[in-house]
Amino acid sequence: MRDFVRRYGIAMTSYIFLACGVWVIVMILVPQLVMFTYTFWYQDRNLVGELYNEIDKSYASLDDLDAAVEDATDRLAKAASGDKPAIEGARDAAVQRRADLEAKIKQLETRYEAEKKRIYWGMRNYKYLASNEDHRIVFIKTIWASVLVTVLALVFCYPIAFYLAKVAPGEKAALLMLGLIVPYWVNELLRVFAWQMILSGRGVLNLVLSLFGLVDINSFNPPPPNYLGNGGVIVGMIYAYILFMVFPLYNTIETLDRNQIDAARDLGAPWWRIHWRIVIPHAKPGIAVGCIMTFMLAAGSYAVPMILSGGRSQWFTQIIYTWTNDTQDMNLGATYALALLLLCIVFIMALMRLFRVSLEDIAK
Amino acid sequence: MAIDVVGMNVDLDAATMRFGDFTAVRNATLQINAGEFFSFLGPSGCGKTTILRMVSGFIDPTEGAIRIGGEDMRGIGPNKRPTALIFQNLALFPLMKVWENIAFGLEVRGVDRVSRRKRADELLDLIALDGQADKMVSELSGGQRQRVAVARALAVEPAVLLLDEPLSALDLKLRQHMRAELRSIQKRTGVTFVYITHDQGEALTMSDRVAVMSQGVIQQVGAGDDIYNNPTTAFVATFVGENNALFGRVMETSEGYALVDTVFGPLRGRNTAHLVVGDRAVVFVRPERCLLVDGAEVDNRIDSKIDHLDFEGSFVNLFVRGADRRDLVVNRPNDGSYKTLTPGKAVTVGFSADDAVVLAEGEMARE
Repeated sequence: MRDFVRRYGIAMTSYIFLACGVWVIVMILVPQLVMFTYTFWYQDRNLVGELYNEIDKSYASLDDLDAAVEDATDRLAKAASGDKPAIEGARDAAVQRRADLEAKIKQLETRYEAEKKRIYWGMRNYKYLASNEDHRIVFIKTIWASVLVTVLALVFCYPIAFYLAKVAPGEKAALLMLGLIVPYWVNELLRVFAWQMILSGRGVLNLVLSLFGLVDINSFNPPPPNYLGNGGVIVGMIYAYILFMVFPLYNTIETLDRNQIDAARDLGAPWWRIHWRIVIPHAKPGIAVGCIMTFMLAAGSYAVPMILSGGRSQWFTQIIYTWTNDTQDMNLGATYALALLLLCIVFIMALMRLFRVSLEDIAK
Repeated sequence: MAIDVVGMNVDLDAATMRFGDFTAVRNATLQINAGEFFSFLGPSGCGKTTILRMVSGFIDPTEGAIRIGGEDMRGIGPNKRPTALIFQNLALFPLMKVWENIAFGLEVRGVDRVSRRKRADELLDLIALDGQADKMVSELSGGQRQRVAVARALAVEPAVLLLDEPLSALDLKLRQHMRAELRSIQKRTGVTFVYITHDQGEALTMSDRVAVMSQGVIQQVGAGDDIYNNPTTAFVATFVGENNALFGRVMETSEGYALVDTVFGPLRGRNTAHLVVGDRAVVFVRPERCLLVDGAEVDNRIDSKIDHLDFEGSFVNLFVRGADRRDLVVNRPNDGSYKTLTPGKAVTVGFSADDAVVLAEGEMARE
């Protein structure tokens, strides 16, 4: 610590610590803690809703009663003296009922206001999460699909990364790299929409297929097939997150001494053995990082499944969205989000174990 | 222990290697005999690494042919040739243990784990590293790693072992030790060693024959003492060992000798290059063949003054004022007499005609 201050001066050191502190506390600790506490309380929204309806209905009844009183008063003015007592009686009764109703409404409103603010502490959110079978299916489906995306992305990106790092001569490699990066200058949402255009029934893919006579793009009944849905979501995700897999792989493969590959070749190794015994073990940290990033991005993705599923699949993030935006149930939303976070943490730790990679290796 | 493979011979037949405009190797033709320890000696950039890559199969010559054991190797990749290459930086596999490194070539050939381990242990014995089998490569010293690289190459029983300046990264004492080691391994296994280096001490002490190269051209091929005593070009004369160079023009030739008119007067030497009268020539004489004479009869004498002397331990290098600021070097053993030799003292340097070689003027090794 003293060395640090001596090296950088007190001003710089204070700034560094302050900045790190703000970062850790404001950006990481506080939001997570808040979310965590949210999962432990809930509001009785049903009750609040019921009360609200009740109040609504009561106001309607109030209006009816007002009309009845007015009507009675009118009739009283026009009625004969003999009928007056009866009408008066009815009017008084209505006025009384109105007063009662007003009192009741006041009671309801007080209760409503109180209930709107009331917090119940308990495990109701977790119980709900555990018991909802549909959501559990979606959760498992999300995990499974994310794993699939990760594996497919790895298989697809490894040759690209290897080619970039070891095979392509300098200029070509730079151009290819540029080609991979440039699409990222376009907003992610727009790129996902582009894929929707490719995969839809009268989209680009079918247009190309129709040139080969494989698809009739103009038919109405049945309409040409669209590729949205599970397949579309997976393809879209691999595309959207390709750089996150390629770059970690590229970085680690790049540090491999080319002579090792030559030495293995000289000793007689065919290309698959060279990769299996020399390149992949060297690239393990990169593979781990790439898989972690891709999985997290896939599991937490919202736009891609929303747009490319064509309404057919449902992703876990969409449920969270429903809770927080449609139902306004922040507590359930927080609970579901926490579940997703825990899933990612478990996955990262499992992957680190599997690849026998430590935190330092990944940081490098 | 024996590796039951006889070394093969290697034939370079007018092999030329061009990279675009640049010619790295020009018309190399020579024969390396089976079981021979053969070295390519030359400064950096002379083309020796290119020749090694051609023989190992990483590149094919632009023109000409490479034959190993009589078979043309064009189009055959490094994994299919009966060669094994030891890289300059060794290129050991850091993520594998020592024995796994050595046994890698066998793993590639589908040998089962038990046999592989046994073989690796045998080779570790050969290179005197038994007990280190399960260590990681990073735990070994430079010299040990060097030996592991040799063992790894020998494990695949190559007919020709190619070594790319393997000792350049080692310190002096270790280098001397490894020279003897490699020589002994070569003798015991009978594998043809093709060794490239810029260190002429290595080349001379280890090899059966040496090829001296400069700028892509093979200047001379021969046994170490032959190259040293009878250089055929000015480059070989100056690159291998130290040599005094006296410039002039041929005045007379007779019976294998040539008389060259130099700034020190006429000097006689062996006319191995068969020069004729009028040719520009250089008389080369080794420092250790130069004597300090008084009245004694010598073929050649040069009168001059001592400029300075370098005490090198077991011998002394005496620098005598020559012509055009080029000193004459006289090498004397440390017998105590150097104490009388002080700068400015007048001396006469003498040498016999048999100890001098007259060669055509040409490219010389940079100082």
